[in-house]
Amino acid sequence: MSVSISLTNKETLSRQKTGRRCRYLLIGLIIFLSIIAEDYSLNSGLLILFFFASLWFIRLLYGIRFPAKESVHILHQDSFASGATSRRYLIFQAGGAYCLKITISTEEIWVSTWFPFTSIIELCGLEHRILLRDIVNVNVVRKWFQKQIKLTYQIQKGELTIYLMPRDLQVFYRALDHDGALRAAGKLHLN
Amino acid sequence: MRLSRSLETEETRRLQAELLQYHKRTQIWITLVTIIPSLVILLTNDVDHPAPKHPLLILAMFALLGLGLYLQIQQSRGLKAFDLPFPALDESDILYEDHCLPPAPRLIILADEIWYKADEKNFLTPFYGLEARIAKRDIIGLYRRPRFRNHVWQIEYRTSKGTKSLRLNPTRLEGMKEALYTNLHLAQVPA
Repeated sequence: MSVSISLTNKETLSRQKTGRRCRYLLIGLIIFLSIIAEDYSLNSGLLILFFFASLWFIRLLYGIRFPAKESVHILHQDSFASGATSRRYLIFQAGGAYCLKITISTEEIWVSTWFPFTSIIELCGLEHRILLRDIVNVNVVRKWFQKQIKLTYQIQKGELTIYLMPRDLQVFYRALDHDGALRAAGKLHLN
Repeated sequence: MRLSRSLETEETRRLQAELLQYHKRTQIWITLVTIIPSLVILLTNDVDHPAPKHPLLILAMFALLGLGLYLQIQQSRGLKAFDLPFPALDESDILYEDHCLPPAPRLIILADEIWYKADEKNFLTPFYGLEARIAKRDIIGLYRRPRFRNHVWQIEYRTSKGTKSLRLNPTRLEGMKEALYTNLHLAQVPA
């Protein structure tokens, strides 16, 4: 869960912290339960189910709160995009393919996903709520033989970079720079 | 039938809310009275029990289960009575028409709207839930994406409660792209 600097306040910080603690505790509990599973004849399938259900529940309680869609003016949405984050989250650095939902409104850009990936998205660090004015840089890079958008934005502790692969790049650019502010500020580099 | 945001009126909103309420209430009653009791008795039937349930009771429970499922289907068929009618159409206004794979509805693309309209409403239509009328100015995303072994067209559009998406699987593509992109300004910025 990452929120850009202008949207960060005490409440979001404390929720981030609690959510992180809960996830670490859950991983510890699952490791412990899997060690003693054989002695107490615990079903491993049920353990896995419990793990994902708990992750989903933690996200529900301490995840990012996006505003209601009817209250904002949405310019573009792509429900089957791909992407990754530059931050290392244990072994979960692979990113998501065809499962990210990118929503661009007049003020913000949201990166999220849909069920059932909602339970693991926090572990992969792929949920973001970014205010457009907090964007530092938008570049196009070539990685793994395809074009990716490298988007850097300001967070509480510096900057964070995410890589996005929307299905329609041109519409994505147009929606991102709908008022021309990013290009005017020299933050948009599409070549 | 789904309507995009700019096509909705107070009247259609009220009708849809009534329909949903009626649909939910009836389905809950059918499930409580027929499906759940029959399933409970059938699943708790133990053939090795010293005093097994009477075969006639088992038969009656199967009949009750069948009745419940039949009522559910009938109730879903009844949904179409509440459906909002498509306005009358002049054949010359149609830019593209495709009878998608049955029983999916028929795709009709006009200059300003996209219709997904069932020719003959059978009992599968409400399960598909795909009958839609979308104004092109409400479209916020249009792209092709891979699905299983082929590609489908995905349309994302605004509704009064947020966003919805519609998956199109046309049987032919000639002229479809031109018709789709006529009067279409994605991200509200002309390309």
